[in-house]
Amino acid sequence: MKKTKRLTGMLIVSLILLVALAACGGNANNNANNGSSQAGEAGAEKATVTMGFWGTAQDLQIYQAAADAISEQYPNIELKIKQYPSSDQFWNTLPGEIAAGVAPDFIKISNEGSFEYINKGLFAPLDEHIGPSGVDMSRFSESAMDIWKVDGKQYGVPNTAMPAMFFINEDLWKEAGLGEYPKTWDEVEAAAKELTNKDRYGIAINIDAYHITNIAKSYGGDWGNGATINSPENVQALQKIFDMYEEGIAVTPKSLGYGWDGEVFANGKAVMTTGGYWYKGYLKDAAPDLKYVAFPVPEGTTAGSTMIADGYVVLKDAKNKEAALQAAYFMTNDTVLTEFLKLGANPAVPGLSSQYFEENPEFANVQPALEYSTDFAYPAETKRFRDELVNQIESVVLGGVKKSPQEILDGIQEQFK
Amino acid sequence: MNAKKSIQLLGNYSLLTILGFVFALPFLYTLYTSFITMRDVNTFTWITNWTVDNYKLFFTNEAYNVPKWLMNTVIMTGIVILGNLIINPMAGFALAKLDFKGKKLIYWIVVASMMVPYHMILIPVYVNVAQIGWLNTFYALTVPFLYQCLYIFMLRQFFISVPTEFIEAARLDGLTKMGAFWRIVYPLAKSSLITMSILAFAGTWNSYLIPSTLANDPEKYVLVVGLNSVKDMFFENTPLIMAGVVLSTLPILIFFFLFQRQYIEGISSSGVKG
Amino acid sequence: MAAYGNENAEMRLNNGKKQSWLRSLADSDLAVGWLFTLPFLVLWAWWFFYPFLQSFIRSFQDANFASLGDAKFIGLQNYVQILNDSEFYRAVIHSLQIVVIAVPLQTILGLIMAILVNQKLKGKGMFRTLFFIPYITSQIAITTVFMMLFKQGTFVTEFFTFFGFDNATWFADTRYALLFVAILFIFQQAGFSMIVYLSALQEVPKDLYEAGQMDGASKWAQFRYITVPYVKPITFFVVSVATILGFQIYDQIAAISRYGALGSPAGATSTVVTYFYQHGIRYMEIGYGSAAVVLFFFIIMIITFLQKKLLDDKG
Repeated sequence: MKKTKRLTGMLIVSLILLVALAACGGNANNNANNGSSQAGEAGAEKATVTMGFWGTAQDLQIYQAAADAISEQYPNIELKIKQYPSSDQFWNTLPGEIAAGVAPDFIKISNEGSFEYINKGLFAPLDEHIGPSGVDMSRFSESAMDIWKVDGKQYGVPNTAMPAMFFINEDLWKEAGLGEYPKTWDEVEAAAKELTNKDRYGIAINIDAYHITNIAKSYGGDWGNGATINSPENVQALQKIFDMYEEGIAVTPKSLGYGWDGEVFANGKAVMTTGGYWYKGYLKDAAPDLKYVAFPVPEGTTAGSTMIADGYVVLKDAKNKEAALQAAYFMTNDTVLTEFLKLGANPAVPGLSSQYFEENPEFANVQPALEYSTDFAYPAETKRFRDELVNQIESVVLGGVKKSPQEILDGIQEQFK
Repeated sequence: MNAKKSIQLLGNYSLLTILGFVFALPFLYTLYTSFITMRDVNTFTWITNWTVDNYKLFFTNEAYNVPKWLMNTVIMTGIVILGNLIINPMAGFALAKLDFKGKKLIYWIVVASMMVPYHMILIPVYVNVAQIGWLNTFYALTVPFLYQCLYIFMLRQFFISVPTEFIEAARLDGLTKMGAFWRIVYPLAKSSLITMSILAFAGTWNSYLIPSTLANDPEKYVLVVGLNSVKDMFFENTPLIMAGVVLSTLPILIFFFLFQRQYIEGISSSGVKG
Repeated sequence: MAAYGNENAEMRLNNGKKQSWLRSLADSDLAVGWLFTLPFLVLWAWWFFYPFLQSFIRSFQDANFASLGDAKFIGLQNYVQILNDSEFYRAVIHSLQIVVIAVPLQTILGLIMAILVNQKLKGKGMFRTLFFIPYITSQIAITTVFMMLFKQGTFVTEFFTFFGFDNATWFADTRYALLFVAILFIFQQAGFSMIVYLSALQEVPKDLYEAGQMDGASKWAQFRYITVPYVKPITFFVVSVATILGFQIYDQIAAISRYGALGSPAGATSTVVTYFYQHGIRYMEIGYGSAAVVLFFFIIMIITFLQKKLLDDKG
C-alpha cells in the first residue's frame, strides 16, 4: 500500500519536475544557441539567410543545389532552405514566426495574392538595397518588373511570368466537325453550342477569380485595384459568362463533382476551358492520350489576359535585407531558371524566354500574349474580394438567385471603395 | 426457440453487414484509389491496371523519410498517451468522486476549454513555444497535450457510475481516498482507460495542424505532415494523397483491432440466454 | 479486499503517528481534489489559459497579422461590427442546423452500433473496426470520397430521390450542401460515440439484466429501463462532445471549398468556425476573428449548460 502511494506521488512529482526541467532546459539551450550564433556571425562575418518555401520535392532539390552553390557568387552568405508543408501552413505560421523572430528572410510568392501582403506592409521595398547589393535588375523584362512595383517602389525580384491560356480538346473539336479554332468569345459561345451534348459541355468556366479576371481583361476590363470593379467592361464580361451558363453550354467543375477545371478537361467533360501553363504537367499524368491545343485567352472586345508571375520578396523583418536580396537574386540565375523552365515556368529573363518556348512548343501560340498580359490588379483586400466575387457568382449559377451582373458588381464595388 | 434465435442472428448480421459496408466504403474507395494511376481517377479500372507506384514513391524518393516520420509519430503519440493515462484519470476522478471547494470551477474550466477552436490560440502558443526554445522539439509536440479536457470530461462521466460504496469499502479496509483511487478505481476503469487510449491514439496520430505548426522542420515531421508535404505544385495527385492516407491510417487500424479485444461482450447478447 | 486490510493494519502499527497527518491529507477531499487536478491545472494555465487570454485581449484590438505590434485598443468595436454582420448570423444558423440534425442521429447510431458489437458474435472485432474507420481516417480523404458518391447521377443521389431530393451534385447545390456536411459529421462522429458507449456497456452490472430476464422483461424493456438509464452520464458526454465538435467542424467544409471560397457554394456551408477562419486567418484580421470566437464560445457555453440541466443530474 505504502509503496503504491509513494510510487504515485513520485510519478506525479517527477512528471511536474520533468515539465519544469524541460522548460528550463529548453530555455537555457535557446539562449546558448543565440549566443553562439551571434558569436559565429561576428567571427566569420557570414550572414545566414533563410528562404521559406513550399512546393514539390523536385523544386526542393533545385533549391537545395542552388543553396549549396551560393558561396561561388556570394561567399559571405550561407543560404538555408526552410520547407513548409503547404502555402496555407506557411501563412498560418508566419504571424507567430514574426512575433517570435524566427520568420524566413525571403520567400517565393505568386502575384495573385502579393498585392494584399505588400499593402499590409509585410514585405520590404527593395529600392534602397538594390544599389549597395550590386544586383542587376535590368536582367528582367520591364513588364515582369512592373508586376512587383507598388506606388513606384520595387517589392520583388521577378522569377517567372506567363500569360493565361485557353485550351481546346483537339479530338473532340475535330470529331464535331468544327472548322477553325475560335478567336473571340462570341465564336467560343457559338462553338460551345455545337459541342454540348448529353455527355459533355462546350466549355468549363470555373467560378474562380482567376478565370473571371481573364475574361474581364479580354473585354478591356480590370479591377483597377478596387477602383473599377463595376466598370461597363467588367459587367459585359460577366454577362457573357452568365449567358453561357444560362444556355447550358458552360459548366462549373463543382456541379460535375470535380475540384477544378483541369479535371473536367482531362475527363473530356468539357471541350474548352481557360487555364494556364500547369495544364501541361497535369494532363501528362491525368490524360496522357488527350490531344489539346493552347491559345491565348479569346478576345471579347480586345486582346487581354492576366500574367501569372512569381517572384522573390524580402520580409520586412529580415535582419540583413541586402544579403536576403542577394540570395533572392541568386535564385534567378540562369542555372536555376533553366531547371525551372524545364518544369514549365517561363523565366522573367527575356534571354531565356525563347529557350522556354523551344522546350515547351505546345505553348508557342501563347507567346504574343506576353506583350499585352497584365497583373491581376485585385483590390488590396484581395482574399476578401476573391471570396466575395466567387460567392456572388455561385449564388446565381449554383443557388438560383436572380441577380444581374450589374447588380453583383455594384454590390461588390460598394464593399471595396 | 431455435428458429427464433436464428432469425435474430440473421437480422443481426444483415444489419451489421449493411452498416459495416456503408462505414467502410470511403476507406475501401481510398484504398482503391491509392492503387491506380492519375489517368484512372474518377473511373473504375480492373486489378490488372493497378500499380504500387504511389507507395513506392514514398519509399524511394530520398526527399521522403517515411521511417523517420513514422518514428517521430510513434514517439509523439507514445508520450502523449502516457501523460493522458496519468493526468486525465486523476482529474476525472477528483471531479467525479471527491467533494471539494473549487470543484465546480475546475469542472467548467474543463468543459469550457473544449469549446475554443485550437486555431484561435495557436499563434500565442507558437510564440510561447518559440520563446522557451522548444520549436521543432518533441517537447512542443507533447508537453502541451499531456492532458486533454475532452478525456478528463469523459473519464469524469465514467467514474460517476462507479458506486461510491466501493470507495467507502476500501476506506473501511484502511485505504485513503487517494489510495482507493489507485488501488480500486483505476484498475476497475480498465475499459474506459482503453477507450481513452484508443481515442487519444487516433487523435494524436492523425493531428496535422499542431505538429505542422510547432515542428515544421522536415527532420521533425510526423507522418501526417510528411505525407501531406508530398504533392504537386498546382494540382492534386489524388492517388498519391490516398496512398498517404492509407499509410497513416493503417497503424491506427491495427492498434484499434488489437485493443478492441479488451472489450468483453455484455450479457445482453442474444446468444447467451435468450 | 481483506488482504489490503491486513497489510494496512500492519502499516498502521508500524508507523502510525508519523503517517497520520500525511494519511489524513491523502484522505481529505480538499487536498486530494486539488492534488489530483494540479498537473492538469498547471499545464492548462500555461498552455491554454495564457494563450487564450492573449487572444481574448486581441478581440478588443484592431489587430492585423502583418503588424501585431501596432495593434490598437478599440474597445467593443469588433463585437459591434460582428453583431451587425448578417453573414455572422447566417453562420450561426448553419452551425445550429448541423448540430440539430447530426447530434441526435449520431448519438442514436453510436448506441445502436455499440449494442450490436457488444454481443457475443463471430467477427464482432471486424465490425467494431469497420464502424470505427471513418473516425480515424483523414476527414479530407473521406470528404473527397463522399464527393465522388454524391455527384449527380450516382446510385447514391439516385437513392435519395426516393425521399424527394433532386438528383443533383449535393455539395454544389446551395439547398443540400449543408445537409451533406451534416451527413459527413454523423459519419465521423458515430464511430467515436460507438467506442464510448461500448466501453460504458462493459460497466453495466450483468445481474441487472439477469434480474430483468427473470422478471420476463422484453429486450426493449431491458434496453429502456436498464441500458438507457445506466449510460445516462455517458449520453450526456456523447451529446455535449458531439455538439461542441459539431460547432467546430472545419476539415470537411474546407475540403468541399478547396478550390473556391470557404463555405462554398455561395456561403451555404459557412459556419461560425469558417467565419472565424476566414476573417481571423485568411483576411488576417485576428482581432476581429478572435471576437467572433469569443461570441461563439458563449453560444456553445449556453447550449452545453442547457444540455447539462437536461441530461446530467449529478455533479
